[in-house]
Amino acid sequence: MFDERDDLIDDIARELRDAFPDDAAARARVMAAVRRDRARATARTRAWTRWWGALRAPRTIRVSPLAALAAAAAAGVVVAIAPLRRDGHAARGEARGAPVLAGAEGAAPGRTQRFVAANGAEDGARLVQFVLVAPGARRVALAGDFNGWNASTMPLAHTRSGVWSTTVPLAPGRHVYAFVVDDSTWMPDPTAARAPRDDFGNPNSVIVVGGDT
Amino acid sequence: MSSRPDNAVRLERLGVTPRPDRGFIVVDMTDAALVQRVLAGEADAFGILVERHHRRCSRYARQMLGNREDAEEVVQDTFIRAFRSLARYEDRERFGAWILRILVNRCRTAMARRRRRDRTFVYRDGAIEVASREHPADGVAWREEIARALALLDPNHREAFLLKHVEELSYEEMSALTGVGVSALKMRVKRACDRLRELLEEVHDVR
Repeated sequence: MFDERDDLIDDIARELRDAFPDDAAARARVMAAVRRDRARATARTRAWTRWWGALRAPRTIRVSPLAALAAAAAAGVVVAIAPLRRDGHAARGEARGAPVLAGAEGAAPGRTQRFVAANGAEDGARLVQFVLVAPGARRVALAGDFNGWNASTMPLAHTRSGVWSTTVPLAPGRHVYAFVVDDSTWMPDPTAARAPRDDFGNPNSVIVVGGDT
Repeated sequence: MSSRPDNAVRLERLGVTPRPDRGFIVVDMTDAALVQRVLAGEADAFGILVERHHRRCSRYARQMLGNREDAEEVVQDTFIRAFRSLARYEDRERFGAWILRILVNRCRTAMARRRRRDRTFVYRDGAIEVASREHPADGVAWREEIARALALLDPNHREAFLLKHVEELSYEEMSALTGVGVSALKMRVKRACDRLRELLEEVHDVR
């Protein structure tokens, strides 16, 4: 009844089917998006596990009788002045809070900015130089758990013949990362230790940034 | 580095042969087996599934939605959702059909969102640009005409036409995938073909 095949329809279908290009860069972006989503999910699970564990862990609290009396007195004062604060100061407090919230929402996502804002001092972040020798590359970027696996935030500069480098502040601790060459090829740092297999595609590298010295 | 042998072993377990010129090629492992690998903790295997199915998904999304940005967003979203819900994938369905079902639904959602934003369908970009670098002039004109005609179809008719004639699904597969009855799908494909013929016959005949 509905046999719709004819030369014209066949030509259209063939054109639509065969002329579509394979896009390796887009494929790499899909994998980067999956990695980011997975990293976020893992971070959420870890945070939840940590909070849940902290809430469930038994605590022993030792309080001297004098401190207990002082705490009870302080609680009494808070109860007494709370209605006053609601009437008198809450509105001003909200007004002060608003710009802070707006600023936080307006900032670009990703940890890079937070580290840069911290300026390497307040949270003990260290400046770390990443170097890759890649003579044939047109672009090189750094992607890792510290920038949400977003290769667009940390490009490496071509410093001299075939040598690419960038310096970024990293918080103390263990970080997993990789280089992204020409927007499509993910490769580990040849000079660093490899990450255990919690990644996709090619293997990643690990860097451990020390705390205060 | 001491971890290099580990990597070689990992790749061998995945049935992957390293090829320096284009990453990896896969030897002899079905999609279902790769899914099992991912679920068993070998997340690398998902990259191979993306490699296998990305072109088809991108093609459908681009031809259905008509622009590169929306299509790329939908395809990324599709693979993210597939990864998240991989545990719900069942072997009795082909992985390709499963991911196409997620994609078709994401495309429908994207089009509904776009209608709400009151944007018109414009086939404005990428496929034509890419094509124009790779093919001679008359091929480009023909391709552009097809893209324009496709854009003028009713979205339901376009969906049915692409699934039937470009993705080459049977009506039964299409019905399982879209939730629409076979006779209604046949009617949609017929309407799409009639309209395409009406829009393209003249251009086609003078080629």
